Amino acid sequence: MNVPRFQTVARSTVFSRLDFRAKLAIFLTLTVVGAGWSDPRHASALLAGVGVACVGVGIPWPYLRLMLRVMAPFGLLMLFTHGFFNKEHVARLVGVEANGLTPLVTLPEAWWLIGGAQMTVEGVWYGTGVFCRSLMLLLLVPLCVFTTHPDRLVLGLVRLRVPYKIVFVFSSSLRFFPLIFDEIRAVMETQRLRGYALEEMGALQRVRVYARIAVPVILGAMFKAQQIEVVLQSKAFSGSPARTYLHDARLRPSDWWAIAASAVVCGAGVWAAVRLGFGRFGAD
Amino acid sequence: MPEIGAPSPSPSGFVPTGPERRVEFIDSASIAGAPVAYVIVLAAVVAVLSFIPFSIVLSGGSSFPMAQGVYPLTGWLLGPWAGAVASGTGALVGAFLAPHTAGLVWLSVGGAMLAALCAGCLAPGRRHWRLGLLLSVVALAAPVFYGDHAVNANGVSLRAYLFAYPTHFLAIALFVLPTRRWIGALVSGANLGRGAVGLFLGTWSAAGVMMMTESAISYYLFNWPGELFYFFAGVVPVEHAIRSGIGMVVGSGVIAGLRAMALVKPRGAVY
Amino acid sequence: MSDAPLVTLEKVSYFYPRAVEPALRDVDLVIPRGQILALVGPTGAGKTTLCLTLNGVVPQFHGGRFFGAVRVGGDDTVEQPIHRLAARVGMVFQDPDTQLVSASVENEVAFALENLGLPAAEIRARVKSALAAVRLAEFAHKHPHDLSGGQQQRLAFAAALALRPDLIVLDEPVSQLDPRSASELFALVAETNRSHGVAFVITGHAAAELAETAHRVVVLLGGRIVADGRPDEIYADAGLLARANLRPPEVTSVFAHLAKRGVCAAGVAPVRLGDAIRALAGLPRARPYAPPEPDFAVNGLPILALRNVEHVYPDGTAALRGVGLDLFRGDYALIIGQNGAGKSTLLKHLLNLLRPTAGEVLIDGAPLARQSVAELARRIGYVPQNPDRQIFNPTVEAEVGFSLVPLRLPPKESARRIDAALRALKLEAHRRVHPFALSKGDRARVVIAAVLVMEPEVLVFDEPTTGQDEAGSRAILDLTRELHAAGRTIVVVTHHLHLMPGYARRAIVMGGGRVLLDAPLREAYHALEVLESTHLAPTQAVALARAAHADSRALTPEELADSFDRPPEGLLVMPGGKEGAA
Repeated sequence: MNVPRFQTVARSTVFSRLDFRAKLAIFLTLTVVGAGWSDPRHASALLAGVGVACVGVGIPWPYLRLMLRVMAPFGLLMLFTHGFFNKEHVARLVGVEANGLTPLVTLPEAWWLIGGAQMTVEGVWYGTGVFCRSLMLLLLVPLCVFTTHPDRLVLGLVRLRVPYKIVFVFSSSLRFFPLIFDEIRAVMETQRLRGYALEEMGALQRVRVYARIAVPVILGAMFKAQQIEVVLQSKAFSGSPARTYLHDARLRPSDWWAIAASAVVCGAGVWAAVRLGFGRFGAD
Repeated sequence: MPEIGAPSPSPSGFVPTGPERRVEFIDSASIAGAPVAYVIVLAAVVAVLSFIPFSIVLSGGSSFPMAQGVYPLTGWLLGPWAGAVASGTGALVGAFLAPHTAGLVWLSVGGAMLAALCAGCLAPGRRHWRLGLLLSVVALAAPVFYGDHAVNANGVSLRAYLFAYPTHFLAIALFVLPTRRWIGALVSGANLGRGAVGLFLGTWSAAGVMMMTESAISYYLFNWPGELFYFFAGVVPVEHAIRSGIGMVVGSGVIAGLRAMALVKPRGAVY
Repeated sequence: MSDAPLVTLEKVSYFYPRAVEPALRDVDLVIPRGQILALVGPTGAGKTTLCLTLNGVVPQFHGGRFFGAVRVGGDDTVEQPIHRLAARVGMVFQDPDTQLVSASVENEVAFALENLGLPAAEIRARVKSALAAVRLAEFAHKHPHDLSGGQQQRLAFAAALALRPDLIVLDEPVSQLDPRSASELFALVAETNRSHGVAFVITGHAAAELAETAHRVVVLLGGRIVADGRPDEIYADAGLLARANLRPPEVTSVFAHLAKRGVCAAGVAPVRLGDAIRALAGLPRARPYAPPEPDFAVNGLPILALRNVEHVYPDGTAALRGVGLDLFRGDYALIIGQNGAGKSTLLKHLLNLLRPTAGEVLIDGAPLARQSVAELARRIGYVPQNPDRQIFNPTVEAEVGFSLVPLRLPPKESARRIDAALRALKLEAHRRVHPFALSKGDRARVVIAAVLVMEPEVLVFDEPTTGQDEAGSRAILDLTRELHAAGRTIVVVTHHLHLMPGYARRAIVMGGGRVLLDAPLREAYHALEVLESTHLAPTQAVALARAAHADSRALTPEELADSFDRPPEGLLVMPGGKEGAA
């Protein structure tokens, strides 16, 4: 298992060159607007847009593929559960009686226990919307974060008046993540080298053994923490926000335009959703 | 230079000849009394443990990483506030690096912080009682909000709802009742066996409040069908027992180890 | 520049919180500007504590009781905030992993300067010059995690240098580095001292490097300064070295043995290799030393065999290239090579943690891949470099017994094995103690006991002497010798070549993923061209032996001293080359 990295996308694009604060504005806008859209047509259009943007800015394809692979079972589950079971709620949203939904698949009556169960078109459609919305929200993270160098991200957060200590904890966690990841990998190897064959164990024993992995990792981490604290003190770290920075972080006109556009879209989106029911499942 | 009185000899008979100095920590790079570096490494640990999956939690819309079993531990090791920063940051970093394990990022981060805050309040005596009171309100509001939306808005049967979450109702009860202090006393006591019981119940309680709150919010977003509540009735207790088991096994080992190591102890620590 | 001393310690004593005995006892020390001071002593002598008093971390962060005063450039370190002292005293610590806190190389150097509030332009200028000084300018935008251990230490050095301090403290800076990186760092210290006049305090067990670089050596023992002098004075004092459990540079040992044999005068001996080679001119000519190689009987099939093993990592790095190797029952093999030579990858193949990309690994003639890691662990015990990753349990006894759980042995047999392992490692008294309450050396013994309890046929030790002082290193290596004598097959991977004569029989020299040489230890240590091809320096004893006689194959200071004849009665040779009266 390779150490997962806080990926910085190397490709320079209009989007990646934006300040993190501008990206955050776009992130928040899409989250607010997207969370309110349960209609699959709107949700899938937004998902497609975010997906294209991810590919465009150069998010590595293996990463996107991993996300799709992991989310696929969740998507199927959504289609299945909403298709078969979510009748009352969906019916109310589309304004019909529960038995007025359009059947898509009906299981043969002869089947034990589940015979006669019916999957509805509206349920599947609703499930599609839920899945698209979830995936879109997930893709926003790499889109906005992986296109920003960690140092720029820190600077952006500091300029947003996030307390420096908190920002420092965040950036340093990214720094020490590979160290702890290596540590846990070594500990897992160690357990196997002490004769523990996880693959041959029962579920309960496996949980017990697995849980123990964290013990040396946390103790080792706490021990290192004291060393790191001494290092920080030795590097004049006082947690004070009154410090200077190697790099500058002024918002450029393109950043201001992005922030302004986000604010307008966010306001318009919320207004349209609340007042006009735009994007709501069954609104038309 | 500020000095103190004459020193007494050490067991080996050594008496320092220099004047004793008053020792003060002049810098203050800490978060609620916990050295920043402790918060950083525990955040990194939480992020790494986000990669170890245990099973699937449907109600959270995400996988169930091992990190969920140690969110409360950060509260006991660092105190509620620093623990919340460590857990929340760790969950956030974990979400960035492995978004597929996090579900909704802000929900995972908020849940992680809530679990650490709750655990930090599971302390003996009257420590953090104001925060405990506030969290009790949150803990009680979550099932009411969830139940109201499921039963009254979406037509889920009350029986199905109650049937799905007895574990979390128990967790909330353990938190809002005086059992909170009792659990804190068990965790901080010298007896490792009783400590393990405290860690199990404490993780049960803190992680239960977290799960209930997360479930309430994600239900509001996803509105899963009423039939799934019966499914939860089988899955949720097992998962919660595993989560609490992880908290107990990891917590017991870590606390026993920390007591043996001569590390600087954070001010808000409960061990 | 002022004539006032840079650092003054007056009657400094210090108790850590909850400690009943002090870590420092009435320490008086004056360090002038521009001096390189080596602070040596066994583990637990108080070296790190003393270093941390110089920037106020002791006592300000640790708390406890503090007596006396430490002044750096006139500032009292108990009264000044640590961040102010940080501008005067740069620190470089042992572990490269934990002392780099930023996500890029340039930000790492800038971090302390940013904390001090320097203007951005000034920070940029300092970052540039500091990175250039340590030859890392081209890595400015890399993540520190992507650098090698040696580069990481140089980066930590650059971060300290960028502060433009009066003093840089290096606490065991090379204990985790390979020999080449260690010499690069020491060269950097000497260069910075010459060019910038920065004073240094360096702690560590690397006697040869410290003697090469330091102007002065201070010996700490039990928190007290027991000796203070020039390197040649300190390392010539055999009684002091024995008392403080210190190992002198090998060249100094050679001359001490020569003095014992009456070949040269006692008292003063060279401490640097160059001086020692020059001093040879004044000695009688050495005889070639080439004892017959002992005959190692090879019993039947190799227990472990690698046949044309290749390993290419997913990123395309070819870590092993056609490695062929046999390890026989009763072997004591040493694997050496620079970092990146392929040693760790080779070990992982022996433990089945990695599978060959091509070729095969055999155990008793059968493919090793057929066995799971856990099954194999019962036959091949692995003792890692860092014992703390192996500790899962709250008592020593439980930790040792943890390895037996998967074996499902009868309780009596488990108890017998645990008792035997604890006895062998002299841990019986600590049976109920938490492993983390023990010293690092003792924790390493707990981990060895936990491996021994499985009664494996082969024991693999990965850098067992890293971070250990002389006594700790000897204790572990003596144990490997006992286990070997008891019939176990031993494999040791180490950078500490000078410690291995008298233990290992055979050395496998690796470089660029290949076995460059597989030969008896003496032959391998004298294969200078092979060693150089993988950037390994010969031990001082070997280098001096070859300078004394091209055909010498002496391995140890004693052997080298044996190859000199006593001069005529009444004449003793001074190490400097002059003759004196007996």
